[in-house]
Amino acid sequence: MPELDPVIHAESRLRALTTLNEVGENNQIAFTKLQKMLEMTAGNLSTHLRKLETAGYVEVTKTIEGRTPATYVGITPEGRAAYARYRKNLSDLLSGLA
Amino acid sequence: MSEKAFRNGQLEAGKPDPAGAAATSGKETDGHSAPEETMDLHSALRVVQDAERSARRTLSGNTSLVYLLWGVTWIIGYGSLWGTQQGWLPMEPSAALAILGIALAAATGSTIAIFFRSSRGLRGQSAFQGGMYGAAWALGFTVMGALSAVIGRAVDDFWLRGLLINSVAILIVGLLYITGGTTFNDRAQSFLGIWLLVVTVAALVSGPDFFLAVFLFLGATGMLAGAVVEHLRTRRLRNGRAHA
Repeated sequence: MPELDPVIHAESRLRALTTLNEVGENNQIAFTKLQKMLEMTAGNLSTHLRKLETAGYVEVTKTIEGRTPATYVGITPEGRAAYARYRKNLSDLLSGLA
Repeated sequence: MSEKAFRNGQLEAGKPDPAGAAATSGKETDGHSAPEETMDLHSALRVVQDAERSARRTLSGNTSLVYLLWGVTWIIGYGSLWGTQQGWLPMEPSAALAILGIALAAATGSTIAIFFRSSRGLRGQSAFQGGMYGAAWALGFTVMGALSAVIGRAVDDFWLRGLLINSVAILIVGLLYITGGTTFNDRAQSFLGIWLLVVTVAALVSGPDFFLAVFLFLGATGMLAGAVVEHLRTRRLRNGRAHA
């Protein structure tokens, strides 16, 4: 019986990781843009990103653009693999229910 | 939500970054904790589908709208010129040319705005690809402007001049559509580029008397067909996922 990764299987983290997977490997998205896309508060998104970061699924990078600090988030190769595994297991479980 | 978030001391100036603060301080910026949501399997699938759809809409821009915009621009611009050439539009050719120029400028501005909005806040490989692709358009049409000036001085006939300048312009558009399709893995865009090159050859073969009709009826139609194909493709993807 396939199992769903508990790090990913929470609505906010699943939405965040799905969006980051669409942004793609070797790409990063500004935290503020991601926050707007997901319609989450900065604190809530940060908490979930930290869990994903701890699992090695996302990478958070801080930088300066002009004189403005900015934070970028991107999915890691491990994150892409874990997400693909999650999608397959979800699909297998749903097929089992049908 | 303060600059203390950057504890390594590198950031002293500039605006505070709530994202960085929240992401690095380990504290909630809104005073709320993030609850662990429980989901059943169908809810999880819906979350994935909704997030994918939303991300694609935001990140890729509205390509269908861009094709529609250019199709309408060609109809207005080439339609005006063709109407004056055929004599059923009571207007000087120079006035029709001005209409084409204004329509092209408006379409260019709108296209830049659409793609700038979707690419803002991204960095990495796709940002580089998008940036260089945008630069290719800008540089291509800068060269096109210089070439148009030379053609304008060398060729006296208004319609032959139009044929040459527009053919070169659409050659550039066609080639960039083909390479854009390969860069962004968009087959429809590459096929539209190939179609535009076919239209350019047809226009050149048709000569100064009929090239405008070719651009109007075959070129604009190709753009509008591209808009329909892109719209249907987006809708099919959305519906396909919804029923997955």
